[in-house]
Parts: sequence; C-alpha cells; structure tokens
Amino acid sequence: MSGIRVNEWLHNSGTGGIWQTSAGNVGIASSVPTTKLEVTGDAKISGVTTATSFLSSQGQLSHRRINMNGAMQVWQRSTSASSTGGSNGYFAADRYRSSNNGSGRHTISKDTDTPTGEGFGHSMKIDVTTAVASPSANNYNFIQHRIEGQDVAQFAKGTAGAKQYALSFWVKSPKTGVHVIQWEDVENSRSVQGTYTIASANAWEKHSIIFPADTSGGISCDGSHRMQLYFWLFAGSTYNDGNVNSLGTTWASTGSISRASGQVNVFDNTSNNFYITGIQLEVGSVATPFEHRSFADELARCQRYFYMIADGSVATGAAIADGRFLGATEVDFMVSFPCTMRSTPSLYQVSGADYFKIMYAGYNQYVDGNWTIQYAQPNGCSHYATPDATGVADKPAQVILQNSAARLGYTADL
Amino acid sequence: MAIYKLNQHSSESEPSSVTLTDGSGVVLCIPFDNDNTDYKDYLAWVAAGNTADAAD
Repeated sequence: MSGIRVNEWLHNSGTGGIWQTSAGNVGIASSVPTTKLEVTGDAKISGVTTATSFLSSQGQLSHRRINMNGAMQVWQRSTSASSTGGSNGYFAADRYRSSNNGSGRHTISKDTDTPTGEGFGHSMKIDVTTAVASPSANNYNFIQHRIEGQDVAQFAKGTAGAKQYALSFWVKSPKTGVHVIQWEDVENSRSVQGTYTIASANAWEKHSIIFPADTSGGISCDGSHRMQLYFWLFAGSTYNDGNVNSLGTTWASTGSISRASGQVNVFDNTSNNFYITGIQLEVGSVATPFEHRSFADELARCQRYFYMIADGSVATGAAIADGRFLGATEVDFMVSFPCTMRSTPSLYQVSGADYFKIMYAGYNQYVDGNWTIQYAQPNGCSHYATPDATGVADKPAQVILQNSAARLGYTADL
Repeated sequence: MAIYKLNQHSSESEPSSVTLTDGSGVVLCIPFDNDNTDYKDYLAWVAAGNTADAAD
C-alpha cells in the first residue's frame, strides 16, 4: 500500500505529534513506541475505557488513601466538643488532633455542611468562640493528623526512590487568601510546607498540594508516631512573619518562621466557621478522586487508636461487661478490644456519682469514682474500682453504664 | 495536688499506672507502657521536674 508513512512524525507539530513505527506501534509525543499505543503525557478519555487489566506504574488502584477518617465519618469521643483550646488532644473527630496556644477557643463539631454532589455526608466544623484578633508571638491553632511509620513506608522516604506526596481536600474557610499546610517528618525533624489560596470566603473549594519527595531522612517502619500533617488556622509572629516567601517549600529541618508564614488568621472573629472534609493523602504526583470507604471500614481503622465501649449519650443502662467482686470492697471486670490497638491503651473515662452500676443477685451498687486499668495489653485489659457500699466477695456481677454523661473508652492514639 | 496520681493495687509491689485529671472533664488512667503516647507525656512532665501524687 502506498501513502502509509512510518518512522516519522505524522503531524507537523513535531515531538508533540503522532509517530508510527514500521511495526505498527503508534506513539503520541513519543517516537519510540514499544507497544501498540504509547502516550507521553496525560491522556483524557471521556468515554468508558476497558482493558484486560490496568497496571499502575506508581501508587495503586485501591487503598490509595493513607489518612484515616478523611470524610469525617467517625466521631467516637463526641460529635461536638466546645471550649476547646485550653489543652491539646483528640476531642471530637477520630484521628484529627486539635492544638492551640493562647486564648483562642473553639467548638469542634460534626456538621452536615458539605460540598454539593461529592458524596460526603459530613464535615468537621471549627466554630471560633473566643477570637484572637491580634495573636501574640507564640499563639497558634492547627488541626493535626498523625501517622504511624509503617503506614508511610510506601513513600520510600530517605531513599533514592522516594515518592511525592499528593494531598487533596475540600475546605470552606471564612477567610480569603493563603492558608498553610505543613507536612512533617517527626522522626528526623524535617518539614515541608505548601499553601492553598481561598478565592471566595465561606464557599466550598477543592484544593490539592503535591509535596516533593524527600531522599533524606528515612522513616522507621513501625507503629510509632513518625509523620504528621498540620492544617494551620492561624499563627503568631514566631511562626508567621506575614510573608509567604518565608515559607519552607522544600524539605529542610523543621523551623519556626518557615512553618506557617503567610497564613491568614481564621481565628480573628467569633463569627468565623471553618469546615473541612474529603482529606486524602496518597503516593504520587497526582491527587486522584477521593477514595470513599464504608463507615464500618473507617470505624475499624479508627478503633486501632480509640475504642468507645460505652457512651451514655447514646444509651444509658447499657451493659459494659461481666465482672465480679474480687473482695468485699473491690469490683473488677475485663474487656477484649474489637481489634489489636496500636499500643497498650489508656483508659478514657468520664465518671461521677453513680455513673456506673454494679448489679448482682438482685442488688445494685454504684461506682462513684474512677476505674483503674490493670493487666492491660493491646488486645484487652482489666479494671478495678471501689463500689460505694460493701459487696460480697467472689459474687459475679454485671457492670452497667448508668448516666447519660458517663463515658468509658480506650485510647492508643499517636 | 498534682494533675497526675500514681495507682498501686494491693496485690502490686509498685505502681503500674497513673491517673491524669487535668480539668478537661475526661480522666485518663495511663498504664506504664513505653509505646503509649499518654505515658510519654507523663514521663516528659516528670522530666520537667514535676512529681505525681503518691498512690493511696
């Protein structure tokens, strides 16, 4: 046949055009196609694509999302924690830690305000209740997500094959302008920062940040706290000189000014509400669509870090466990956790007068104070407490949650 | 009164946990486990020169 051109560009756009080899291989922006079709660069197909299989050269097709509870589905501790800011910790949404320095206070709550049509049921709302219009030098507030070393091993950090980090999320901020995200290697005290710029206040926007690979600072593949994300909400002059050019956008030792410079003040007014959902951290240079998970899947992942066995706001009169009187003045019970926790957990409790009932042989007694954890390990533990009246040694008993404010859980978070 | 108080069961020869009451409304009973984040925070508090209340 005449007119078939091979081993040359079929379009006069040069290296950006189409190339066909004598073997019938076609390259788009590639003059050395080794398969029937080879594309250098991105390809966009509006219709359905089928194949015998799809082989991803970077990342993976499922389980791409490394962070947990990114769609704000799981709130075991509380769906609303008010006046937070006096201490740092996990108060509401599972796996998202709140840190504050200064007089700023806020309520963290589970909200149904979400970006339309994206399939999210909930967001995390930060409602500023005590504003910090003029932060002192050391004042700050950020949301943090901490990750075990073994869950970031796929980034190959500290090796020649280190991978990029793709972070994406939906956010609705009361402030236009620059917002900062810090990605920190806790093990080697190294950080890199990225920014997203809010164009319209109080409107949902999707943003993504691609953090560079880091060939320095290897991460131990273990269950310890090794890397963490910071979503900065405001920062005083120690961390923020007001100039985004001071921000460290390449990996370096964790500094101060380099961490949050340019960050707007989300806490400058008590009318401010900040929302976030759809957080996804994954391997690679591209932020892929959010990987939704079932509630059961996300809850199970979160229970490695926190397990609420009884919550009075959900059900009073709820059974916790079988127990017994070890002696006349001590009642004990044991619990097995639904999954192996990250470490031996702490006992998390909200207790008070008659918050827990000890029921045996037609008698009711109550625990007024705190339970003490004993013989604990990552799969279960024992507890003991002194009831408010003398019981009968060796009597079996049921331990019942008795007050709507009572809580009993286990925390092994990072 | 310190925010931390040691716990020692009558069957134990030494304390095996410490209770944190920091006014947040949540009380933590923390086992002595080096991988536990709350225990690390307790050790840092002690290293800063503080002393927990003795067990009853």
